[in-house]
Amino acid sequence: VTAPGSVTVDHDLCVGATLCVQLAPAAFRLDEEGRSLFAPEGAWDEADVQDAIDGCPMAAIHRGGIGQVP
Amino acid sequence: MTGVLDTGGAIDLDDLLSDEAVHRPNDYHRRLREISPVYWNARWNGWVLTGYDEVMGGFRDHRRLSSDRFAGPFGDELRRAAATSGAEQLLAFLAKFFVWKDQPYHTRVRALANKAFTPRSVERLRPRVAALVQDLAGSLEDEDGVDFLGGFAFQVPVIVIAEYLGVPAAAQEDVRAWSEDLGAVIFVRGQDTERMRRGEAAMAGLVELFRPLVRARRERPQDDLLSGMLHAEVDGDLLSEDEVVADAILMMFAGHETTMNLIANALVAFAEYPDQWTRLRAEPALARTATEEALRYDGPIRAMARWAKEPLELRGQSIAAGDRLLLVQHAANRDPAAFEDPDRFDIARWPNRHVAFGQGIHTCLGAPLARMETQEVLSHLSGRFSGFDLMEDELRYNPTVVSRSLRQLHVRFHDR
Repeated sequence: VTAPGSVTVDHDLCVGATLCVQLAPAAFRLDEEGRSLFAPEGAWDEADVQDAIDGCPMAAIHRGGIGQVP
Repeated sequence: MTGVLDTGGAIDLDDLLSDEAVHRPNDYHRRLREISPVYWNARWNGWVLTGYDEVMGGFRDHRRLSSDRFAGPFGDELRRAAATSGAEQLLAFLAKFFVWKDQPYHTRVRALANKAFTPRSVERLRPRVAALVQDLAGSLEDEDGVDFLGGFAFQVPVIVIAEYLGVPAAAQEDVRAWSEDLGAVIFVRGQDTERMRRGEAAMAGLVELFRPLVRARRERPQDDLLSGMLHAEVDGDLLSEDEVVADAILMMFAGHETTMNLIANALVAFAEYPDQWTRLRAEPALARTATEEALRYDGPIRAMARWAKEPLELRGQSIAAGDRLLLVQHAANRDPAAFEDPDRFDIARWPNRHVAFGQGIHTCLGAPLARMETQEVLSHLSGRFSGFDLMEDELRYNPTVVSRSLRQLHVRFHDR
């Protein structure tokens, strides 16, 4: 799933542990199936997004969208 | 029809610990799923979920399905058993395990502990784990065969987690014995007095082991997990010493028992599919997907329990508030609706959205560590040995609802 800002959540890896939503609530939300989406709204902090990338227990969050050259 | 009805030998489908349930779980789960993926088990007095979507949904629905063992139907059972056996310390510390808390407490403590177990944190341990695996694998070169479960599959994870938590090497055998007794309380249904008494003694031993380690870090914080937990605020409060001790015990326990079983079960899967061992030898980069496939094919956790905080509908079944639910991960991982050819062990399978670690907010904290350890074990052993034979006439598993654990596993490895 590609979203603005070139942060991608790989849904083959995401298990909905929700650490990203806790660490960067303005940048991530859950879809209906409980998987994370990068969907920033309002004021979101780049450092929080980095914490979410580093804190993901499944290493499911990446810089760069699918199909993009990293 | 000839009038012969195959009842499968009239096995009692409500007996979660029947010989079939314990030793041929996939046959058992298939039959339950065919009746209904949301099956009422009158003897267990709860719902048994065996469909992938149902199990996945159950894990995700933490708002309505509680993990709290000390409230609801599980709490009453455990308290009764503890009261009759005088297992007060056991109960007091089990009650502090954050895995059995709901939000918001669970979320806060988990976020603290998570830092130590992210893939990135765990990656720093990889060189140490690789060296340890190489060292311990030396003992596997015995043409008479070896005790793989106790001499290797247990040793790797227990040494790794003990080092990570700062537990002295000399205490590791004690930790194993205590963990077994604790596991009997946690994993085995039916709380008899003798089991609770042994659990109480095990908990006392573990508390005595961890309390000085925790106190030392309170006085002189280090850059480690226990120090971080002691000094972090949860809801504006510090965690108490007992809470940190309890969670250290939880991580010690969870950090080796299940990984030991994952490694042993993986080896059994490769014994069933020796071509996959050859394939891994030829393509060591498959160790990562092979680990995921081992988790799916015969993971160390069979099932996890929840209870309903409010009524809900599931597959047309009305689940009442207070009902228990068993989310059967083994069944979900073999559901043909979710996996192509689910009974085939294919080490290159990807994507592999198995539920061996659970899903949602309670997803196994130690998953990155368990994965990394198993990857290192599989990649080293497959590189070192051309094949192996299981030296068991019959594989025997411990009769528990929760874990998929062999009683013993003797193996003879070959060099060529």
